[in-house]
Amino acid sequence: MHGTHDDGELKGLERSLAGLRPAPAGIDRDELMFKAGQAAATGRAGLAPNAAVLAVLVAAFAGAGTTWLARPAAPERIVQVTVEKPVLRVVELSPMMPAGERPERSVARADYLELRDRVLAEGMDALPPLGPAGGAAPGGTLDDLWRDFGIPPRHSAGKAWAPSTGRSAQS
Amino acid sequence: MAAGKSKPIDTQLLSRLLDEHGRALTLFARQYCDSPEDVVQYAFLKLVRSRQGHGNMVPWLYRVARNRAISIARSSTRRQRRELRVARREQPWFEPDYAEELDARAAADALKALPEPQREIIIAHIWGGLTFEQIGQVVGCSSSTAHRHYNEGLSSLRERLRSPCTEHTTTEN
Repeated sequence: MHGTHDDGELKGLERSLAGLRPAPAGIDRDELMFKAGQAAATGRAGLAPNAAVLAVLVAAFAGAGTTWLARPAAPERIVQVTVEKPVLRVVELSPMMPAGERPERSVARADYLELRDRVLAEGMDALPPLGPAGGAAPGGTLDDLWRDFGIPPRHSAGKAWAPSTGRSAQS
Repeated sequence: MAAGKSKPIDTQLLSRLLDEHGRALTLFARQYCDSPEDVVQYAFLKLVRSRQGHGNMVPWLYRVARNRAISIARSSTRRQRRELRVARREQPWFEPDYAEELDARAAADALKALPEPQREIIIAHIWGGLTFEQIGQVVGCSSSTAHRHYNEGLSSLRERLRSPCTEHTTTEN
């Protein structure tokens, strides 16, 4: 009952308060409308520079991308290099040439180098056929080998040279 | 209540909002700072700059005005706050001799003496026409809390208005 009475009093006070009218706002309507127009125009104009900047950026990126994709490929260059064949020097060896006068490259080594170059250039077919003995050195006896190394042939027995395998040494 | 739905802001709508809510918004802002007209103008211009109407434009205007007025009040110096208190006493909150049942000056003084949460909710509800749910969104509390503050504030007002001479003297001091 007391609560209801209080509620009734509060409702009455609420109605009395609502009867009061707030003081005039004191806002200049013309000034507010002018500033509102300015604000609206500024909002619209503010978008234009952003759009222009965005368009310029898009154009710049598009141009850069097109340039990147359309750039010419690097030209393929073919370079020809001529390699001179080594000049082989053939030196005739005397049987008893003193050690100081011996050439560093013997005829056998020159033959070997020439043969190697031919094998490298033409393949295994460039190798000379083996001799009839199968394991004998091509074209020569042991005396020829001694002579190649500047040793007099008197130390040899005149037999054909063969690789020094254990079996051949025993035989 | 005007402009419940979202619609673009044009001159007519702005003018209507100003007619219907300008006084109450100014009264609402006046309790926080001494330049309520600037605060209300700021709120309306912010509404225009947002370039589209909000679903609940009136509570939105109250929230913007409240935040702006509190910000201005906080940034003011101690001297300016003292001047604000004097200005509050001098500026009328209500039109005199408009109501038959209540003395406008006494009602304003009783309102000024209320705690801020009760005062702002009473002003927003009675003169702003906001619901307690909308007031909760404006001041940042639940609708039940807003309703409780409202009832407490009305009770305090009733007590103060029963002894106007004593209350008037207390307010002036």
